[in-house]
Amino acid sequence: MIKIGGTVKRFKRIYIYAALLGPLAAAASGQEWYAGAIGGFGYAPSLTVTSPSGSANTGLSNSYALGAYLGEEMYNRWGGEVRYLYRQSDLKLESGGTSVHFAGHNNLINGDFLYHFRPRESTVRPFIAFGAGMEFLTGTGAESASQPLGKFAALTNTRETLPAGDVGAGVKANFRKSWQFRAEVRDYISPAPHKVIAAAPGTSLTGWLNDIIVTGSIGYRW
Amino acid sequence: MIPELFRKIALKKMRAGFVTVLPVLLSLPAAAATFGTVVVIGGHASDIALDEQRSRLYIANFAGRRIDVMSTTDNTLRTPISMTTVGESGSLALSPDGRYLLVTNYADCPATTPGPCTSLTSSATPQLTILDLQANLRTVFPIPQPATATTTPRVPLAVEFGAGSQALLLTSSAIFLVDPQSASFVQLPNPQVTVTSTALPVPFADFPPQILQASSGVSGDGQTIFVLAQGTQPQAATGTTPATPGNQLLLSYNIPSGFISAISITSAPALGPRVVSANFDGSAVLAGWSLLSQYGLVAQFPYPTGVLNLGGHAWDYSRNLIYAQVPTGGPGDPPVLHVLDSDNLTVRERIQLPENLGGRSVLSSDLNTLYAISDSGVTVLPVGSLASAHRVSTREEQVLFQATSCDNSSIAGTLNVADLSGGHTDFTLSVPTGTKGVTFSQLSGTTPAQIAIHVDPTAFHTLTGTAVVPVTIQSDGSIGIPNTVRLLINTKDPDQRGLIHNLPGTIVDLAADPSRGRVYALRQDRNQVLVMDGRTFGPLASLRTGNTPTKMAFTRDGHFMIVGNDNSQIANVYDLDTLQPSQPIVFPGGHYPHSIAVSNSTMFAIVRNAGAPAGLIDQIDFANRVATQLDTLGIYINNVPPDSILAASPSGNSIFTAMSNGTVLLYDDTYGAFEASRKDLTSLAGAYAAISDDFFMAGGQLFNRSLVPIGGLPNTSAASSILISGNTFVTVNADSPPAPGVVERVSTASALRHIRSIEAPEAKGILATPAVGQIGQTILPFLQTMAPSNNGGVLYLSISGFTELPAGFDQPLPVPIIRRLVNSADGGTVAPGSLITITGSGLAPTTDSAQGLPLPKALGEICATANNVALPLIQVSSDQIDAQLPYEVTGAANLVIDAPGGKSAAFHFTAPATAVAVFQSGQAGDFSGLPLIYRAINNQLVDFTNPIHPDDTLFIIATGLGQTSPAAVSGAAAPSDPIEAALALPTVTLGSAALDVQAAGLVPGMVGIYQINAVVPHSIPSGSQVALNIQQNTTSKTFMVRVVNP
Repeated sequence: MIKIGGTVKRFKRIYIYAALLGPLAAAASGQEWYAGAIGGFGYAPSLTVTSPSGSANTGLSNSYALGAYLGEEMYNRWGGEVRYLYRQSDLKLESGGTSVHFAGHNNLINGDFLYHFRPRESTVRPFIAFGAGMEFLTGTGAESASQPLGKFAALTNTRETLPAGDVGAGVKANFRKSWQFRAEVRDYISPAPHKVIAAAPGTSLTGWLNDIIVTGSIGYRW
Repeated sequence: MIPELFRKIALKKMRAGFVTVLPVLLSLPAAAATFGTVVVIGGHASDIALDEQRSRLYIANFAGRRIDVMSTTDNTLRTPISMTTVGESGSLALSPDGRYLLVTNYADCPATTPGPCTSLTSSATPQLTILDLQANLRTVFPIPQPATATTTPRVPLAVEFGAGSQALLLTSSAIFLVDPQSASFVQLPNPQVTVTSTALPVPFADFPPQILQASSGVSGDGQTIFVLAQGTQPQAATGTTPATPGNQLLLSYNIPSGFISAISITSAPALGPRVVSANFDGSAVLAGWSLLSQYGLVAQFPYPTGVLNLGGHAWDYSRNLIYAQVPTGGPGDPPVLHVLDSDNLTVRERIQLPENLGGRSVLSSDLNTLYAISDSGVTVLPVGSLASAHRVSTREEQVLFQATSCDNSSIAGTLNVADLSGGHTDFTLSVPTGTKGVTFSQLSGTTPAQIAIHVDPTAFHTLTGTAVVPVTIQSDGSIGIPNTVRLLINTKDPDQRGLIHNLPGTIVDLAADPSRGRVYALRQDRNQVLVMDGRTFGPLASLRTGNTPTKMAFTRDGHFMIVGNDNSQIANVYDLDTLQPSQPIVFPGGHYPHSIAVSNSTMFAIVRNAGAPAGLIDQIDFANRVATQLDTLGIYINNVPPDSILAASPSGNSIFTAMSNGTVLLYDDTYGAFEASRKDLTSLAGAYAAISDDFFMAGGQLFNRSLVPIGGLPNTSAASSILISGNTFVTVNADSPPAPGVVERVSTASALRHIRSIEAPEAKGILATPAVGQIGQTILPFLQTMAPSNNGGVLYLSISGFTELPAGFDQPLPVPIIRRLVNSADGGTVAPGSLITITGSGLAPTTDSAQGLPLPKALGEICATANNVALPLIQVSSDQIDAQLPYEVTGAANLVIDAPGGKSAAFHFTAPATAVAVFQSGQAGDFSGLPLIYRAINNQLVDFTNPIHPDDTLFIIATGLGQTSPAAVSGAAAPSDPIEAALALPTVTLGSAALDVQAAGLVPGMVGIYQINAVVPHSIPSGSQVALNIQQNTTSKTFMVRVVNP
């Protein structure tokens, strides 16, 4: 836990530096910078663990997400941003009416390109986004020798780093002079975990982990 | 000289109004500790009254003609109240508001010779003194002449207040209600009583209870006043119909209703001590030595002397206890306070008193202090702090030592001596002079103490049975009297069959309940039915009986159990489905039910009769729970010896009666008639049974349906018991204890098979022991001590408790054959100290498991040796034995099993010094067969869902790590301080990383089980299948485990 917390702190430090440097850069170039805070809800379709005796569903439980972003609109319709999300994501394992839940969370950090369908001066600006980054998936629950469905997979108190791509779309709405509201949906796509969710010997856990997160955010432009 | 000198000083001080407290005297000679403080008054107290408002105890000093006043603050005497009346101060009563103290004077009832007070002199005036303690006024009132009495004297005998404002006054000829405020005397018209007392003068050394012969008491709620007096013939409440004549009278006056009742009681001996105590609501009363309730006499002290002036009692209704001294009249008969259960007078403890009690006792309102009239005046007993007083006792009632043919080394046992208060008190142990072969780690000491007892089996080897060695415990510092502990030492030959179950106490009856999987044993000395599991014989419940239970019986539908009692005039009834008491069966006055039999349509009971004849047969109306005496037994006189026995046939069509004088009697339930009786023998005793409707047995004699003796069962002595088993019977005999018993399966004519049992069955001569205080003991000459066990075998009461014979106990047994010997952890090599598993056939005739530590060296009727060293045994069965290989056995060795079927051939094996083996019996979630490797962080087994992490501490449970330092003792629980560490420390690796092995040794409290503590390094590789290796000397074991880093 201490190490995980340390990771979060490091990310926050990066954003603090970016926030300090951003206005200076914007003032120098005349380009528009923006930053904001995010709140949302994540939904992750289950993965399947298969064994000769049956199968089980596993993955992340649906839950909230919090985060922040910092971006720059370098061109009239193109922009780029760095985006961080803390996703509360308990681990789950379900089969035949039996389900196991294990405390956990996910830290996502991505760099994205944004294409806006309307120019910068428009009040409402639909956009699409795509990018790549990393997921830091952590199981924090208490391990048990008698975890149910252990013949399929073990939910483990450890952490695992996964590459993650993301795609999404949304809309920005400017109001007042410098404020902006955003609503969007992103799909974070990563390989199936093998350490935090470990497939038992003789079973297989393959495929891609999709974490679809719907967010709303308030941002400030300068 | 010192007591005499003290007495003079004491009297002198008392006259001056100073304090005299006896413990000063008692501290002079070296004597056992006693409970209570004696306050010497000089003279003899006849009654006491407690004034808690003023912290005083008023003591009627009978011959001294005064009221002594004792401060309850410091138990010292203050200025007495002089009486101005002519007569003696007989009885006291304090009004509930504390204002009025009423004092009776014993009038002036002269007689030329000692005898009942039958007339008063013309000048005599019986009087009642009313002391107004608030106004400090004294008024003396003459007691009115009863309306109906003429010459009968009106001597006041007892006066008592309840919660009301009026006192109940009993005189020799009338009962009055006295209102002290108005000084009015209202005579109660009914009942009319005639109460006697002793006329004065009396011979020397006569005391107030012998003169007044009356005493009163009040229920805890103050609503009922009881008076026990010597009455000759009270009249019924109507005043027209004479009640049953009696020699004593128990009055009960209910204050709210104003109803008064009189019960006439005939008793022999008299109801002494002449004291009456009641429970809280007045529904039960202890009058002298008899405990009465709505069901009549529910219990009595078993050995009353009837002496009126010796003893006393009080009812502690908050603790459901009775504190009583009721002398037994035994040798010496020291003053002993019995602490008894208030429902059946079961003796819980016996406490030494400084002197005899002698009359009324009064408890303080908080029930913590008891003030009791005693020889010297008053004894103050802080009963509320009794639990913190020094009382030496032992945890064990008896200790069983069983020798085996495999081991001649001494047998160890433990006796725990403790002070029930938790204090440190001296004690000494002693055994009868000449006892050999028994040694104690200490014969004296201070509590708490754990005494190690060692028995040399060679000193008892020739017995091939069970010897009883009593251990007497004494303590100068203990106020409690410790009970004697029995050491039971059993030696046997391999052919002797049976498993002994250690069950202390006087067990007088045994019954099986196969449908409920239970066994019932009747423990007479504790007044209870022990309910045990029919397979494990573990306790399930205990049922409280009357006093001194004698026999059990069951209703035909098996729904109820009925228990007869020798010191209660009721038979207890229990619902066996709920194991709760049901309404008891009430017997006629003076009838104590001993033996009960249930036929298809009726129930009979043999009763001991307090009158004549000494024994009777009563018929029980079970629906109404009442018994009535049969006028005749058909054509026969209803007169049987009280120690006779009843037995119903299995069909319920017959009830057979066997009598100790040789008479037999048969009741035919189909015709409802006692149809046959004969007396062809001079005596009968021992086993009895109604085998069928056509055959009956008593004392080894078989009788046909006409009760003609048709022969005797072979080898069946008077001390045997019989169990019907199909078409044959099983009998057990006690040849001459402590020699073993002989168990036989017989037909009606001949013995089919017989074997020797491990110990002798119970018999009257064994069960009967010297009486202990007021603990009842009634051992009937007819015994039924066998019962079928749930596993098809037989149980019989025996010296140590009961003996279990397995199914087919008399079948020929095979010689044991050993096929394999492995360690119990992973089935591999064995080493000294390893837990081992032996497999084969015919290894043991029965299945059994050790019940505790140290492990026994004989179990399930077998023992085993390796290189002639006996193996501590864990569990045995016909095809497997689990045991420990003794630490002494190393290298090439031979294993031999000694069973009732014979000795096995030697099994050769080799035991290296160490052979580490991790137990693989773990089970968690979806996984089984897991090695017993635990993560300390969550104390759970390592498995796929509970992987090893960096810095984890692992606990590895194994056997076979060999000898330790300090050296371990085979079969004994390993100590916790110091830890017995393995001489050779194992190494543990995880993948390529070496773990830090911090300790490896025996698990404290366990036998042959080791624990290895190892710490995982911080840097280890992750993997789902990483090799965990444990190596000690040349043996190594590897397990694949999951490792997660971090």
